[in-house]
This record gives sequence, structure tokens and C-alpha cells, in this order.
Amino acid sequence: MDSRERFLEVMRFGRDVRSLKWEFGYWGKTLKNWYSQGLEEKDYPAIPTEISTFQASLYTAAWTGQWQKKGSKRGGKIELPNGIGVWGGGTYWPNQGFPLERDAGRYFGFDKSTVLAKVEQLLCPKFEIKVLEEDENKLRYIDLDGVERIYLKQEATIPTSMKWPIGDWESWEKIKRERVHTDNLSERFPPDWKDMVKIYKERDYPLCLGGYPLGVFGTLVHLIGYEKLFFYYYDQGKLIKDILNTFTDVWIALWEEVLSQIDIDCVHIWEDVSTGTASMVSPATFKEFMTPYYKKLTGFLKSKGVDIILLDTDGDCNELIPLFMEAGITGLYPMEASAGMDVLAARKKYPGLQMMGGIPKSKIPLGKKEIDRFLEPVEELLKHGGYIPYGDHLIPPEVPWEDFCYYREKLNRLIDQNGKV
Amino acid sequence: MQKGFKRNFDPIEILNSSQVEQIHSGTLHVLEDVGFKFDSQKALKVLEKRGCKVDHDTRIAKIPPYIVEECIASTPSSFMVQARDKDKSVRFGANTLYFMNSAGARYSDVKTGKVTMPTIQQNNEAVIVSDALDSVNVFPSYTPYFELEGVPPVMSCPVSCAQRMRYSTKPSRGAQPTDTFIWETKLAQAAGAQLLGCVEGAAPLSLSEDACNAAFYYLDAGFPIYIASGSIMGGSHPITVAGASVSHNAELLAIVVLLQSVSPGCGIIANNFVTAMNMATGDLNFGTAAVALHQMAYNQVWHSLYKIPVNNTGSAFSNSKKIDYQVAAEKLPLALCSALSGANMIVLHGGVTGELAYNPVLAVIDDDVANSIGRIVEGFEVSEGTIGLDVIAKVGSSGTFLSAPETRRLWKDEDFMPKIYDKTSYQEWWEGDKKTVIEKAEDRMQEILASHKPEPLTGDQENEVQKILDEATGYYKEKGLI
Amino acid sequence: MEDILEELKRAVLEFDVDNAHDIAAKAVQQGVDPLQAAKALTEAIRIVGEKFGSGELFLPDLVCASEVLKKAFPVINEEIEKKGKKQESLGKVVLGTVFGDIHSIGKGMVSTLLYASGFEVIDLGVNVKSEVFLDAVKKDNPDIVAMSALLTTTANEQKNVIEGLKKAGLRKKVKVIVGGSPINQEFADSIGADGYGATAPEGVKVAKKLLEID
Repeated sequence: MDSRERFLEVMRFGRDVRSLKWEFGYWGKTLKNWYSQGLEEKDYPAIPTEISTFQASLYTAAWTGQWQKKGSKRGGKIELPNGIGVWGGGTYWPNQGFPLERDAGRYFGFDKSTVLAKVEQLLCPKFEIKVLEEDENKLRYIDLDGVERIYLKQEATIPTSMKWPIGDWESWEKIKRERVHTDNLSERFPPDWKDMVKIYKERDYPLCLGGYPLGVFGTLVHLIGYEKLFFYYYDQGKLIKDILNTFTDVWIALWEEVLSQIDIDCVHIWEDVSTGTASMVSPATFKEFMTPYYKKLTGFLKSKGVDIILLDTDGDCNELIPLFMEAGITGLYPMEASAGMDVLAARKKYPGLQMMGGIPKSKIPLGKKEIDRFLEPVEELLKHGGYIPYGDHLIPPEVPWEDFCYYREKLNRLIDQNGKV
Repeated sequence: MQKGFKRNFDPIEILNSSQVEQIHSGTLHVLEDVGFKFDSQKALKVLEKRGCKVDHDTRIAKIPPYIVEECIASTPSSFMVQARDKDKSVRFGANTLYFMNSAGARYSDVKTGKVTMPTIQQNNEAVIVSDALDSVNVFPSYTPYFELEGVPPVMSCPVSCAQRMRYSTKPSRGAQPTDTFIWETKLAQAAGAQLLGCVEGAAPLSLSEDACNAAFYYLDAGFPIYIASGSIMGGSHPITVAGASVSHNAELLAIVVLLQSVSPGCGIIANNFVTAMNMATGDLNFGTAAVALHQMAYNQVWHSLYKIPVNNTGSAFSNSKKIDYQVAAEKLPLALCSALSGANMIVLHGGVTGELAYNPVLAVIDDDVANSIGRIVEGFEVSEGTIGLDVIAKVGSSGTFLSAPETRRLWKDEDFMPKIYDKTSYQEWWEGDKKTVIEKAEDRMQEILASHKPEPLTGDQENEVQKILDEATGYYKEKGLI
Repeated sequence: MEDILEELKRAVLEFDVDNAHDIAAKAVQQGVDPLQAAKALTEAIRIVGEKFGSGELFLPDLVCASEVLKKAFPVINEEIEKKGKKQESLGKVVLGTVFGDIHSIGKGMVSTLLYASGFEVIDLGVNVKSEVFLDAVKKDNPDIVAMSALLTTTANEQKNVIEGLKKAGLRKKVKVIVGGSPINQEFADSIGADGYGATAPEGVKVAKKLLEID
């Protein structure tokens, strides 16, 4: 059984099949620590250095300093910045310039990673990258989505957004006219799309659409910023709805074209709509500004046979789960235990909800006893199906290689024990 | 994917925003207070579950405004129909303009205007001609002819659909009466194509059981849907353009509510087929001013407010009995008004007398018409390069632009040169064979028939198509309809 | 007495739908001969019909005039029955749109014009099944059965009704006329109809011709 078949079977609550061995991912610093603590280095995570229009890398300019050499490839190893994310298989969004981890994955016998179909889903054409200011400590630039970002070179954390391309009706109308419409759909496909279709047709891994930063809250945050967005919900409702209508129309049109050529296994929606303690939007706001657009997307997807629609939201989203499900979302991740998400409780309350994650990553360094304790509920969850266990977000640098090995090997045994194939 | 024409300027708006709002709120009022009759218990159950107030005795569903709004929102603003040849697929929506073939019940003789029952051969030739015309993007149901000699009436839709699958690789619309959707769906699937499903209301404010059944069937096959509700101003609808707009909108939105309740997110193109009643005879008046206004208002509301792709049928027919000046005078102003006001598809080619008569010779002439209209909506580029101040300066007040390299490079893109219209000099015409545009179109049609060979179905597909037709014949015989 | 008859006529000629019932009631109250009142109404609708035929009046006028009759006639008819009198008509027509078809405009126009011309009309409505036509022929004993169909696919239903009449042995009792957008003479002949009218006024002419009136 390959990784694709396994993923579909697990997400459809198949009982005989073992779950997938994946992690959400790791911080760059974590992996650097691990290499010095015993992880054998064979395939050092390769940061994409090419800024391509398709699935453009929003932060590549920062991670590599290669913004001047657009389109050029650079050989050799680039040391992982501390603050970069490195994907562990459950998700893989190349557009953040996060590489895929292979050494730990090989060591623990991970399943093949999910892959995002190679189409441009946000803006088309993209903005030109423009450096506004650079010195020893920082880089200030406009990224491919028109967002002004600051990258602090010493800290090397994810570039912080400072200004956003949508600031009012006028700026939105301009972006809509130039970059978000269905008149240029063919330009959203890469020149080698026909070859990609052949490759996708023979794949042995899950292929998805959506991903970062596609969501009915996430995309707004990405292009408007939190602060303005929260005001807009109150005084620019029509603008928000027009933006959401336009994007969902484009996604449906684009996905329809993709689906006419290849099967897709799932769609990921990125929101991060919750904080550590609660949701950032009220149920009323959710129902007015999120539900209709989810329904539009999920209705379309289900009519095309795509029945795995997973939503990425960090933090405590307990109160939103019924709203997500009512709107057609079929699964959630990474179920941040540290923010109060309890996968076992959620399973009991929502037996049909697909889940990924849910393992309290921050507790891994607390020792074997604590690991044994927090892995206890996993067996019941695996037996029920529809669950892929892994750390509840990127594994932090505080987790030593030794403790991670203990946790992951035990988790792997649990996975193997709960599934015949 | 067929490109169609891309409109490069904002559509003409004939209503201000408060008028748009009045038409929309009037529509919501009709759906909530008057309701809409669905002649199908299955449909009524779906609507009841969705939150509509259903009276099972009268079969009327009263639809609250929030449901209408939600269903408008869940309808995508663009969608694709896959053709047998994937390069001929279409994507409806946004600023793209396509043309759909027209149709007629009978073959119309070009010279005499006499109508006769079309033979299968005449039908197939008409399909081949339209397959060859670039500007025909889509075929409607029972096209080109509603009836065929030697074919039982109940089989005319499936047979017509099969002929389109055999003699064209372009997308086709299905039909809805008497379970024909079963066979047409199978035929399209056998040929490896999607159909544009068809759900037509029966004005005023009702949908027949056949139409509801077709809706469920086509949606189940995963096909997008063409919705319509024939509207006669002064007959099935109010005589005023505003009143007819509201009642026609209500009919189409009620169908949108059903489709989106059954299959949220399904693609829909909403057709405006309005005519005015001839108050002297009760017949349909094609190509009148009120029809043009109705369509323009409709395009504005659906395009700008609902964001659902729109089709216009106003220019499909004329009251003229022959291919003559009246045909053009009635069809063309409507087609142009439709194109300028944001229609995503216009029905044009070949329809002569109402829904009575069709001739492919007119389709050949309409190809030039469609290309001219398409060229108009594409607009023109204003840039330093296209203004060409340097070229103007170079020619000055004594030269000619004919010799400018820009002229040779750009003239074909800046204009559309009709293929059939007579553009000879008077002298040439007088001394030559004096052919009319109709005679030239007849010649062109013969050329097409001699040279255009659409990709045939494979052997397996052909066998499957024949098997489906045989199955349909058996089905209708059993029902006593043959 | 004469005034009230004139008033009845005027109600039709001036399309006074709102007051039609009251004027008819006033006529009965004044003790006018109900047959005279009926004659005044049919005389008026005949004038409207003629003006429609000559192009002076249009369909909305014709339909509104017949609405006046629909309001006034029940009152007058009740009085005719009360007095045991009998009203004359050119003939009786059973009419409807065939099964599977719910279009009513064309059928309604023919109904109005037949009525305006002096026929007694029994309108069976739309989506009328073959057996309903047959029952009406048995029960009401009409001179003519008139069928309408707008759709190509329902036109064939007209043939079913004719076949049904044959099987029931009723075919010779009635004349059958057909009409509707997809119908033409060739089709009418092929299904064995007695007559075909391309338009509503032609339908009336055909009905009169078949019954050898005028």
C-alpha cells in the first residue's frame, strides 16, 4: 500500500490500515541541534533558491539572499536559518520557501509526503520582488504577493509583514482587475504542466490543492493584515465579501481545470484563525464572513468527488469545530494540545472528524514517563481511524534528538500495532 | 479550451445601483411571498430540508431571501464544460463571450422560404457546418433541428444529441423532456464529453416534473447546468420590462436555489429567453427594443450582482420567413446589445423564423456577424505603440499610412475582415457574377462540407452510441410512446 | 330597459372588468329578459372580435373584454336557468393543452375567440390527460375537440387523444382541431386531425368551417 492509498484509507476511517508516519515539521534550529546530537546527515534540507512564479517562494529572498538573482539556481548547501520551518510530511507548502526534511524521515521510516499540485492559486501575475532597504541586520522588501516584509538577519525568523497590498476598495479593485480573475487561468499553470500531469497520474503520494495561504480568513490576513481586517469586518463588509467571492470563484475555476485532468486526494485550507486561548472571530462573524464561502468551496469540491478537506488552524479552535463541520470542512490539524486542543475529547464529540497532529510537542523533553503518558490516548484514536498522529506544530529546538527518538519510535510502534496493512 | 472573445472594457450598465437593488429586492419578494411551483415531490423535499416553506398540496415552495442569497453565493462565477475534443472545451464566466448555435423545427429553403421536415442528412450537414465555424462554440439541445424525418418525436432529442456527438467535437447542451436526459447523459459519457445539462422552467413561476428530474440526473452525472425560463412579456410575464425582469429573475433564481441545494457549488449559466407578445396575433415578437432592454438589464443584474454566467437567446431568431434584411435587422441589434452588456454567451447562428426554421447557410453568414461582434468587445489597445505619434509625424500631411510597416503588421488585429460579405468594388460586382451574400454563403457551405471532416468517434464509442439509442428506443416503446 | 342592455354592451366594449358583475346584477334586478342580456353581451364581444380581426384592437383588449363576459355571464346564466329558458350557441367545444405541456397562452386565446364568436367553450385547462379529453367528450357531447401543444415533444400527445377517441368509438362524433407552435398542416394531417389553425383567429375560422357555419 503506497502513501497515497494509505492516506485515503485512513482519512476514510478504514479499520485495517495502519496510519501514516509523518510529522508536521521542525524548526531549522531543531534540526541543526539534532545533526550535532546524532541525526545522521545524508540529505541536508535544501532550501529552494529559485524564485519561480509558480508556487512562488514568499521568503526565499530572505532565506537565501538570492532575490537579486531571480530565476537563478545556486548549488551547495545553505545552512538552515534558525527560524525557518522544515516540513515533516503531513503538509508541504513550497511557497514559504520551507524545505522538506528527509534525514529524520528516513531514519523513522516515514511515509511519502503530501505534495501540492503545481499551480498558482493566489495572485497571477505575481508582484515583482523589490528590495526597499538592506543593511547588516535587516532586509526590508516587497514579496511576490505585494506584502512588505522585514527579515531580521541575526534572528533569522520568518519575515514579518509590515504593509499589505489591499488597503481599500481602490487597491483591491486594482489587484482584482490585474491579478485575481478567471480570464487568464491558463497562465496559472506552469509551462511543464503536461509533464506534471503525467507524473501526478502515476504518483504514490497524496496530491493536494489549496495550502498556505489559501483560506477565507487566512487569505484576508495575508493580503490585508490582522488589524485592518478586524476593522473591515465591521465597516467594510461589502469589501470583504467581494474579496472572498472573487478568490473563491478563482479557486473553484482553477481547481475545476486541474480536476478535469487529474484526481486530487485532498484540499488544505489555511486559516490560523485561533490564538492560544480562543478564536479570533466570533461565531457571528464566522457565520457571515466564513461559512458561505466554505460552503461554496466544499460544495464544489464534494460535487467533484473531493471528500477530504483539511483545515490548518493553530491555537484553540474548540468552539469553531461545529461551525467548520457545518460548513463542510472534514478535518482539522495540527490540533495544538498546548493551546487546549484535546484530540481524544474531540474524537468523542465528533466521531466523523478527520484529525492530524495533536501530540504535545513541547512535552517531549519532559522525559520518557511523560511521553508514555501523553501517547496513551493515541491507541484508541488509531483504532477509531481518521487520525494521523504527530507533533502539534513544528518541533521546537528544546526537544533533544534522544527524546524525540524515544517519542517517535514509540509512536511508530503504536501505529504499526494498529493496522494490519 | 476554446478562447471565445474577451471583453476588455466594462459592460454597459443601463440601470443605476438603486434600480438594480429594486429589481433584486422585488425578486426576493416574489420568491418569499408568492413562491414557486416545483412539480416534483423529490425537489420539494430537498427545498423543505433547505429551509423553504413548502405546501405539498399546491407544490409551491416559498423561498426565504437568506436561502436565495446563500445559493447565489455558492454558485461559481465561472465553470467549465468538457468537450469530446479537450481543445474545444469552454469556460463560461468572467469577461469571456462565446456563441451558441441556434435551432429550428424545420429546414428552411433559402430561395422560397418553404419549410420542410429535415432529413438526417440535412441535420448532419448542418452540424458539420457549425462544427467548422470558429465562432460557434457550443451546440444547444435538439440542434440544429427539433425534428427529424423518420425519427419518432420522442427520440428526436437523443438522436439529435447522438448526431452532434458523431459530427462535432464541440460541447453540447442536453435536453430535458420525457427522460431524454438519461440517454443524452449516457451518449455524452460514451463520447468522453460532458454535457451542459438543461433545466427549463415553465413560466410563470413553475418547474415541471421532467425539468426537476433532469436537474437531479444531470447533477448526479457531475454536469454543469444551463437554466432557462421562456418569458413572454404580456403573456407569461408582465408587459413592463421592469416587471418582466423581476418575474423572470424569480423563476431563474428559484431554479438556482434547487440546483445549489442539491449540489452546492455546481456550475450554472442562466439564460435570458424573453420575447414580447405580438398583440395582434399572440405570436412571439422577436428582435424588438423591449427584448434588448430586458436582456441588458438582466445581464447587468446577473453579471454584476449575482456573478453568475449569463446566456442571451434574444438574437437566436427573427420573425422573417426568409434569410433577408429583416433577419439581420431583428437579430443583430439584440446580439450587439447582449455582447456590450456582459453576456457570456449569445445564441445566434442559423435560426431563421422563430423556432420554426433553420438553415446552415445563415449560420455561415452569422459566423461573420459573430466575429465582428467579438472583435468589437475585445476593444483596442491605447499605448504609445498603438497611437504611434512617430508614424503620424513621419507621414505628415502628404504621405500615406499604407506604406507604414505598422499598417502591415497591425491591420489584421485592429479589425475583423468578414469572409462572406461582399467587399468587391461596384465595377467588379457589376461585371462579375453578382453574387449575394446568401449565394456566397451557399458556396462556402459546400466548401466546408467537402473539406471539413470532424474527428469521428472511435469504433467502440460508435458501438456504444448505437447501443444507447437502441436502449432508448426500447424504453420508449415499452412506455407506449413509439 | 334599453339603457341597461346598452350599459351591458358598453361594459364589454369599454373593458369595464371591475363593474361587469354589478351591471349584470342590475340588469337582472331590473327584470330584463336574460336572453336579451346575453345577446347584448355576445353582440358586444362579436364587435370586439371583429375589431381584433381587422387590427383595430389587440389581444389585451380581446382578453379584457372576455374577462367582462366571465364576470357578467354567470349572473345572467343563473337567471336564464331560473326562468327555464335556453341560450343558443354556434356549437360546443371541449378544449385543452395536452398532457405533459403546461402552456396556456395559445389555448387561452383560442378559448376566448371561440367564446367571443358564440361558441360554448369547455376549457379543460393544461396538462390534460388523454382520458380526461375522452371523458369530456362522453359527458359533454361537444361538436369539437380542440387541442394545443407548445412543445415538439408533447405534440405527439395530440395523436394519442385521437387514437383514444377512435378506440372508444367516439371519433366520428366530434371534429378534432389542433394548434400550437410545433404543429403544421402536415403534422395535423399525419395524426388524423380534421383541422389546424396556425393562429387563434384561424382556429375559429376552422371551427366554423368544420361545423359549416356561415
